[in-house]
Amino acid sequence: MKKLKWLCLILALMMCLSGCEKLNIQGQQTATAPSLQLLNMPPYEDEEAASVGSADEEGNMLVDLWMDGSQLMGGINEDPTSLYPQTGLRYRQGGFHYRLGGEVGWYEDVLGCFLEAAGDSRVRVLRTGNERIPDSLITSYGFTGTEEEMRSYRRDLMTYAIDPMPSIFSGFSSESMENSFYSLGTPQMNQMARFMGNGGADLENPGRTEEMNALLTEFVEGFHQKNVPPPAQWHAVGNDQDSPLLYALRNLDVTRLSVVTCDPATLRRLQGTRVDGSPVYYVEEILRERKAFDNGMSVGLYAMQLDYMGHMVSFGPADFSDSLIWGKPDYNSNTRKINGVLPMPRTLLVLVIGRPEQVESYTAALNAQLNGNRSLSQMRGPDDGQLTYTANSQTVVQQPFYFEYEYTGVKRPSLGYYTHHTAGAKLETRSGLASQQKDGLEMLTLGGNVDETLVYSWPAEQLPDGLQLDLSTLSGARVEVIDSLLLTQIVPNGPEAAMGENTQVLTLRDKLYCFERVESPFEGKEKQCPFQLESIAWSEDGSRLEVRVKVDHTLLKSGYYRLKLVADVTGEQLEWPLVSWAQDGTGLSVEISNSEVIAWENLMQTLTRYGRSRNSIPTTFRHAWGSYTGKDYQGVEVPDFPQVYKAPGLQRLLEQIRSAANLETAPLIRCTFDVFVPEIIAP
Amino acid sequence: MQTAVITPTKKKKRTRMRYSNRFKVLLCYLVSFALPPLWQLGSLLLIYPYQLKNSAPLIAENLSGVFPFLKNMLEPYVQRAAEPAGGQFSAEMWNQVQQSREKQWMLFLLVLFAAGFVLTLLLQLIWRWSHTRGLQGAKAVNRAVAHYRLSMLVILLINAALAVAVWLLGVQFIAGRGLWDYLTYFGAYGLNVIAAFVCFRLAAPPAISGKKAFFKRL
Repeated sequence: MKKLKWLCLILALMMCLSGCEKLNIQGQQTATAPSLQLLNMPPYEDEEAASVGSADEEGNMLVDLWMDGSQLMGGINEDPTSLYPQTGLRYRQGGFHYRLGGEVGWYEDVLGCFLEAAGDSRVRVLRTGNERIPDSLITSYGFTGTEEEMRSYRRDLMTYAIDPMPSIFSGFSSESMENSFYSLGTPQMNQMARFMGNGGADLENPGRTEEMNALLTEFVEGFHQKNVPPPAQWHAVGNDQDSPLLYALRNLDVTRLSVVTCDPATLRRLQGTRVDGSPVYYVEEILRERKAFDNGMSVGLYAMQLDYMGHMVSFGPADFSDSLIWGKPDYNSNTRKINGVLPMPRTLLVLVIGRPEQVESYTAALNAQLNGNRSLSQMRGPDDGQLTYTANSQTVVQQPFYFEYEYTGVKRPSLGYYTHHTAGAKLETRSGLASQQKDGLEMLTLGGNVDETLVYSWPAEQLPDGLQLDLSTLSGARVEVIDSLLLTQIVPNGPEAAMGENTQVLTLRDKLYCFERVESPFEGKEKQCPFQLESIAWSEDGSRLEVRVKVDHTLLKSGYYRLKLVADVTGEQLEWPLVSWAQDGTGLSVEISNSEVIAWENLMQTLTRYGRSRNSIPTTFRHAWGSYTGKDYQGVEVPDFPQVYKAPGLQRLLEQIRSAANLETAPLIRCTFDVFVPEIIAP
Repeated sequence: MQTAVITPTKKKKRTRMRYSNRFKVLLCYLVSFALPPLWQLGSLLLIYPYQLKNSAPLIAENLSGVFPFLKNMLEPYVQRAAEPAGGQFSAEMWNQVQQSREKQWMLFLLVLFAAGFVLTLLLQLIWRWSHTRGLQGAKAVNRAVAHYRLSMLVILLINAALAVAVWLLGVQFIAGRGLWDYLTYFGAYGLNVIAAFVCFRLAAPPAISGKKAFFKRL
C-alpha cells in the first residue's frame, strides 16, 4: 500500500513535469559560441585623418609682400665711373618705380593692388635686395637658434612695414634715387624705428628691436664707408647662384601667404652644377627644401608687362661695364627741357605662394584690382619713333603699350586621394552583407564558410584637364593586414588559465577562447593571408574607383582583421599643360646664351673705353643701344639688343616650380577597414 | 439533581531534553539546512565561473513574457540585457549586456532558492513545534507521522515547483546544458528536501522520538 502511494506520487510528479512541456514558454536560446562582439579591437590610429582637407582657414590671413629691392628694380647704376651720369635727369633712374614730375610707374599702382587684394588681412612688407646679412653678424648680436629661428630673425630684419597704407610706396619712387629703397645697402633697410614704439610687438621676435637696430646700423654702415667696399659676403651682386628671389624663397614663412616680386633680369642662373657634376636647380631645390608643395602649398606666377625707365647694369648673367638705358625722359636737347617720360615695357614677375585656397582667393582679388585700376588701363611709352632698338637683326620702333599680365598657377597635381574618409566611400561584398561604422572605420562582417570578394569603391575624382590615370601602372598596389585579433587557441576554463598581454579571452561555460592581437600577422607569410588584391579598376560607367579583394575562406580565422588598401601613383604619368606665354619661344620668356653674354659684355666694354676716351659715344648707342646698322663698332660686332623687355629664365623658373610640385610617388589609395569573422572557427 | 464536576485534565508539560541531545539536534539542523545554501552559493561562486560562465538566459525577458503584469517593472532589466540595437555597439556595451544577464540570472536563482529554503525550513520548524508535547504518546506519534508525511509532500512539491520554474524560465534555454547545470541549478532544491527529511527523522522532538521509534532520537 505504501509503495503504491509513493508510486502514485512519483507518477503525479512526472505528469506535472511532462505537463510543463505544454507551457511552451517562448525564450531565446543562449549562444553556443562566445560572442565575439566582446572582443575589443584597438582603435585605429588614423594617419589619413590629417590629410583630410582643412579648408577652414579661408578667412583673414597673414600676407607677406616681399619686394624686390635690387638695383635693377630701381634702375640704379651704382658705378660712379659710368658714362651716364647717375643723377642727370636725361638719364633718369627709377626702374619700375620711377617718378618724374607727376608721372609714376605702373609698379606703384600694382603695389597698391597687392595691398588692396589682401583686404582686411594683415600685410607685412619685406625688402629682399642684393644685401645678405651674414649669419655670423646676426649671431654676434645674440640671435641664435635653429635654421627656422634664423629665418625668422632674417625676416624681422628685412621687414620694412606692417599693415602699411598704399602711400608708403610713394617714398620708394622719390625723384632722388640716392639712398633710395633700391640702393645697395640703403639706410632704408633699417626700419626698426617703426617698431620700437611697441617694443617690436608686431615682429616675429618681439622685444629685440634694440639689438636688431644695432645690427642693421652696423650692416648699413658697412656699405657706406669711404673707399672701403662692403665685404663680398654682404651682398649678392654679380653672384650667379643668388638673386633676391632665391633669398626670399629661402626665408619665406611657409605658414603665410607670400607675394614675391621679382625683376626677371636679376635671375642670373637658375641652374648650376655640383662638385660631383650633377645639376642643381636652385628654385626647385629651395622649394623642395622648404617642403612647399609637400605641405600642400601652391604657387601662382604672374608675368606683368610694366613700364620701366632706368639703367640696367646687368641682364641675367650678363654684366655690363656700362649701364644700358631702357626708357628715358622725353628730353628736348634744343630747349634742354624734359617734356615727359618715355618708359619702355618690361616684364615683372610676381609669385604668390601659399595654401591653394588662399592663393586662389588672393589672386582672384588681385586680378579684380588689376583689371579695375584706371591708371593701369592707360597707354604709355614712346611713339613717333622716339625710341628704337634692334631685335633679330631688325630695327624695332617702339610703340605705345598697355599694362598686361599673364597668370598661371602651379600646385601639386592631385590624381585623387582615396581614403576611408573620402565622401561616398563604400565597402560591400557580393553577398550584400552590410558594412557598419565602427570607430570611424568601415567594418565588414564575413561568414567563414564561402569565398567572398570585398569591393571597396569611391566616387571617381575629377582629374585635371588632359590628365589620364592609368590604373594598370599603379605602383605598390596591395592589400595588407596591418593588425589582427584572431582566435589562436581554445583551452579549458579554469582558475589557472593565464594569458599574455596581447591576448583577449572570451569565456563560454567551460572553455576559454583566446584571441591574440598581432600587428602585421602575415608579414613574410603572405600565402597564409586570406585576403588577396584582385583588381583596381574603374567601374563600368567610370564613375567609381573599385578595389576588389578576394577572400579565401579556408584561411579565415575567427576575430578581427584590420586591412589596409594601398596604391601609389607616380608622377611619370603627368603631363603639364603648355603655358604659351612662358614656354613658347614667342612668349615672354627668353633664354640667354653664353655667346650672347660675351658679345654684349664685349660691346659694352668697347663703348665704355672709346666713349670715355672721346668723351662721347655714338648717338646710335646712346639709348638702348640705338638702331641696328649692321656695322661693327671699333672692330667689335654689334650684337642684337638684349631682349630686356622679356623675362630671362621665365621658362626655366616655371619648369623648376612645376618640377618641385611634381610628385615622384604619391599615395592614391590609403584605406583602412576592419573585417570581422564572428563565427568560431577552430584554430 | 446532582451535577458532576469534571476537573480539567492537567496539561502535560513539554518533555525536557538533555543538553547533549539538544546539541545533537541543533547540529543536525545546522548541518542539514546549511548544506542547501552552501551548495547553491558554492556552485554559483565556484562552479559557475569555470563551467557555466556566460551562459545565462534572458531571465527578465522570459519572466515578463510569462507574467505580463510584471512587464513594466521588468522593462529596464530587459533593456539592459538586450542586444545593442542599431549596429553601433562596442565591446564595452556587449560586456555590460553580458554582465547584466549574469546578474539577473544569479538574482533569480538566489531568490527562488531562498524562497524554497525558507519555506522548507518554516514547514519543518512548524511541524516540530507542533509536536513537542508528550500527551497521549501513541496518538501524538501517529498524528506527527501523518503531519510529517503531509509536510514532506508539501516541501517536496514546493521545491519541485521552484525547480520546475527554474527549468521553465531559464535552464531550458541554455544551449549545451549538462551535468554541471543540473547540479548547480537544481541540486540545492534536492538538498532542501533531504535536509527537511533528515531533520524530520533525526531531530524530532523528544516527545515523539525514541531509539527504535519512527522518529529516531539522536
